[in-house]
Amino acid sequence: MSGLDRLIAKSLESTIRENLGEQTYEKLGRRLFERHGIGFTQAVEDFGKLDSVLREFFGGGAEGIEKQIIDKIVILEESKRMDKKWITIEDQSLARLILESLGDEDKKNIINSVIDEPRIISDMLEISKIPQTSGYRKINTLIQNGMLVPQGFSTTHDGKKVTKYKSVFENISIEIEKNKVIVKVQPTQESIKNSHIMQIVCSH
Amino acid sequence: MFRLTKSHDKHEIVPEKLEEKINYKIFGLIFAAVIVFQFYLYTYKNPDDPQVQLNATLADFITPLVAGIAALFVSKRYWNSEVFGKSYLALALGMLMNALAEIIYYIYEQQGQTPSPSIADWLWLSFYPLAFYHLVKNIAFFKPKISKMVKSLVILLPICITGVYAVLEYGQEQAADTVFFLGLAYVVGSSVILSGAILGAMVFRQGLLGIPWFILAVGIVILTVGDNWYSYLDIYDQYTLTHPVNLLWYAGYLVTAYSLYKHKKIL
Repeated sequence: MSGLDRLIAKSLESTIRENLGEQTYEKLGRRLFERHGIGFTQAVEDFGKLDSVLREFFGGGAEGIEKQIIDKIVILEESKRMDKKWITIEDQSLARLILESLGDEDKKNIINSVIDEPRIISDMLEISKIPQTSGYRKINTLIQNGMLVPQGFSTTHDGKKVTKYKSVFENISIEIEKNKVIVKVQPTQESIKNSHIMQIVCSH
Repeated sequence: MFRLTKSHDKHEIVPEKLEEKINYKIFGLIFAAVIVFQFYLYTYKNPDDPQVQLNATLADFITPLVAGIAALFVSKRYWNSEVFGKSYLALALGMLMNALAEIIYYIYEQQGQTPSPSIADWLWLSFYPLAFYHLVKNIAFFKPKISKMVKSLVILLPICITGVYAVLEYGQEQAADTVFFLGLAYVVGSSVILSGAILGAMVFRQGLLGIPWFILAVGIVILTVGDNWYSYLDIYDQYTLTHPVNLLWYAGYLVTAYSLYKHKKIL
């Protein structure tokens, strides 16, 4: 599952309830369990399965639901270049998550170390000059929150395959307008390509 | 010795794709019922018989009431929902306005006053913006981006229907009076709703909700034909409570009620 999907999925559940109602939410949940053997929360994280169930019920209308839901979370800025799109994070809990990651000096250094190219965890720790124990914990949090995504493998001297990680965003911009903190992100091309949700955002 | 019963032997198979079908018997039943009712009205030798008037009005009142109550049930089911809750409430109000209009029309007739144009017309006309709200709310949510081609067709259809009506009627009457404009309002309202209902059916056509939306479109097509026919009849002062145009309204409302039942069943 793409890091962007994981990031965005955190806000999806409440938005679905609000827009489609409790009854519809329960019905969709039952069908998800029947068809894919997963609960709603898992399905929200696995957007492809959620999409298939939404399409089963709403046909082409599923795209509209997805777009409405995503618009509450992120807004795509108009740009001629598909690979250089800025996304404004509308959902405040998601914005807070990104700000918290950048507010922590160690996490910021970890993200900076993998903005341009993917690296294995030990390289990230070395470049960021972070102690291993706390470094591993912080990297795991960033992976869980979707800020870092796996991209390729590296082979160690003893022949082991180790996953390399890359930042999900190329650029992050923070603006303050009156009392509102506006977080804008520019996802990497791979993040857009691997994210079902981002495909929907970019297709509209 | 322990033995598994048959029900334990069989595993419940989860369908890969949920299916919902239109029960055409219901359509047959609706049309048969309204035709039989119309023949029943014809059994009265005098069409001005108070009993005929009352029976016809009761049917005129009950059919939109049934559809209105069905829409209220659907609305109540999604009360917390921004789209379904509000849009089905609007549809319910529209149908209930129609039911109320029938009563007012009957009262005017009984009192020997001109029933149309009257306040009953305003109530009937109020159905259109409410139904329009229902359609727009759903379509805007489920299909925020509509291609220019589809948009053009959606706009063109009511323009064509209204244009044909206006040209034919003005050509006949050569007078743009209240009755002409009232008739025009019905034709504009019903053709706009028809266009929206067809678009709605297109949006949902590959999903389960496509079934109730298709049935709703059929119901609205029937109501539109009825409204257009009525507009012509009204101009020539030929409308009566036992006129066959009523068949279309009875059927249209009942078909709409069936679509609401289907919606409730699916979601």
